[in-house]
Amino acid sequence: MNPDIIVGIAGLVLGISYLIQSLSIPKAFIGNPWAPIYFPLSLGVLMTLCSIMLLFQALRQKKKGIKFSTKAPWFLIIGTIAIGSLYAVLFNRIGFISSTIIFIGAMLFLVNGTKGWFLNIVLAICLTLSVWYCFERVLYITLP
Amino acid sequence: MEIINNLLYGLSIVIQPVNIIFMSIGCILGTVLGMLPGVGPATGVALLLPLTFTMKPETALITMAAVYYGAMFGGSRSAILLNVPGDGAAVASCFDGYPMAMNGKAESALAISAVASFIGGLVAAVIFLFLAMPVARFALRFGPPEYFMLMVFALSATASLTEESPVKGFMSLLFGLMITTIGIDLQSGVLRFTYGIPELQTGIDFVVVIVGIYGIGEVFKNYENIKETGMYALKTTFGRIWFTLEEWRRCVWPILRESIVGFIVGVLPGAGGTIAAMMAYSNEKRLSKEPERFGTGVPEGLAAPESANNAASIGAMIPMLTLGVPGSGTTAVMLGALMIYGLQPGPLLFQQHPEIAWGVIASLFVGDLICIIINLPLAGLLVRLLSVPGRLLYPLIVVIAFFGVYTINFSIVDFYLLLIFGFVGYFMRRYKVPLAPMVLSVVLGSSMENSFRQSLMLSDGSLMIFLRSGISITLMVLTLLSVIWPIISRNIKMRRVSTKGVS
Repeated sequence: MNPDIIVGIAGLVLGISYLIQSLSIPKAFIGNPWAPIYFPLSLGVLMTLCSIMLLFQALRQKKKGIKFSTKAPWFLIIGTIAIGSLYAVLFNRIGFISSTIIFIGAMLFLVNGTKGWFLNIVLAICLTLSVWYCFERVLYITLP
Repeated sequence: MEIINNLLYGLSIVIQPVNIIFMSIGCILGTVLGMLPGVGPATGVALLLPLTFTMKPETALITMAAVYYGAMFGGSRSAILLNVPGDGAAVASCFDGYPMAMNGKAESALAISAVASFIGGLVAAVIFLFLAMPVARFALRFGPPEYFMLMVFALSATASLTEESPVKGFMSLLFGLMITTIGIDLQSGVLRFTYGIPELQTGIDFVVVIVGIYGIGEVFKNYENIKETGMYALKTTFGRIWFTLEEWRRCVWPILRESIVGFIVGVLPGAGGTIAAMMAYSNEKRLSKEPERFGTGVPEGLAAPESANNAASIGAMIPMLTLGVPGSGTTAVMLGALMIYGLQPGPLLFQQHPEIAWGVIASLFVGDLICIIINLPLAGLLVRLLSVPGRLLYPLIVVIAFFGVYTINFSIVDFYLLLIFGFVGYFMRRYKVPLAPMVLSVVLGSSMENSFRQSLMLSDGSLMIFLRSGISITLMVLTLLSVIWPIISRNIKMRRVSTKGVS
């Protein structure tokens, strides 16, 4: 599929939903009640118009879009997002050092694979400790 | 005389040990990032951004500038040796750089491109030195309405001059502005788009957006060809890295000419090192007596784009430093660094914080020297870094991005935002939506709104204030032109194609 069609659809969804939500922004108590709404409203309208223009252009061209030579690396991307979210969940619960060792280790095992397991573990522990040292002793930032 | 005094004052700032050390680190980091395919100066500067909280503002800016022009030096290394451009600005360096290496002239290719970069940077820095004060003085005449119009012009030019389609440029711009509307509306106190999340009330920090888009998004994009990185069969032993007198004679004029071209392209909003290098290459090809030899490994075909992209990177800093309005993604991030300190870049910077303004300008000269030392004698050593596998590099970039973002607000919500914007950055890269307009509008959004409201306060709500002076009228006309230009140029192209088809 032509990438412009995908971008156009995404923009259209974003533009319209932003537009609807901007209409439900509470009115201001002082001054013009619509004042905080004008700017978002016009952004939403413009985004919708631009998306329609892009879709129109893309459909009229009718040429086949650039074929992607590579598939999107979903496994790595979703893996990174999952590990990052897990880190955010664990960060304040189990403290900086243990959560960060898990985070760095998991990232390395995900991307570097299991073959370099020894390097992964050493890197995870060393990096965590040196970052902890930097934060606590050099920058005086208290970590959980 | 004034200029010499200012330069000497700037040098006295630069030679402070802390600045020299960080600048050298910046030059090395920039060279390495420029060299590694897939990671560019914007990513480097973005990852540095959170670190700048711990530095003095002039040190932060000097370091970021060093990363920026260092990357222009480094980009040619992998272009010459591997035929893989380190970043967009080095694409044109592949055309003749790689054939030169294939012809057994890798040493002179490495040397000539480093010297061309050096001269390009030097010429641009000298022009910068002479232009800075006049431009800043001129900008003192700007009031809020003129500033508003200037920012509108910078944004619309960046959106419409992108290499991708201008419509997508404007969509990227609007998306950036949408992000800035999140949070409390400072004038009325109304909450906008916070969805009941208290952390969103103060808005999304632009640092999070930038690190997500440039840092995480870049990693996601690089996951696509992760297996190929670090697997290059690489030449790492070199003879003396230098060039012959004959090669020098052929290159010296192209280098000087294209430095100036690159500088001018760099100053314009929207156009950056990539366009400058391409333009320089085609200029020299047109001027050459034997254009058919371009692409077979002629030294001037390598020297021209290399001097131009360095000059462009320095030219791009002029509007950022003297006007406070950036014209590219990387300079937008640098502007953001200044704003973190509560400093308003622009003409007043030269009066209130001369140590930053002149320190940065003087650092361009010293940094250029450091870069050529890194890139000539140490070139053989540095290219070994090209064999660092992405499998190790990319997870570490993700980790650095997380730590960097944490230091801003110490908030977990920023971790989630970082991942979201990383994914958005990947989506935009994959579907060829330009990133620079979005980054620009995220950084400029709130100052734009401020100057808009200040103008309306000055005029009691009349929009006519935006037409009060020649400056703002000129800017308005330029803005309109930048919006219409893509339509006109497309029509001209279509007409040319159709007349060709008829004849």
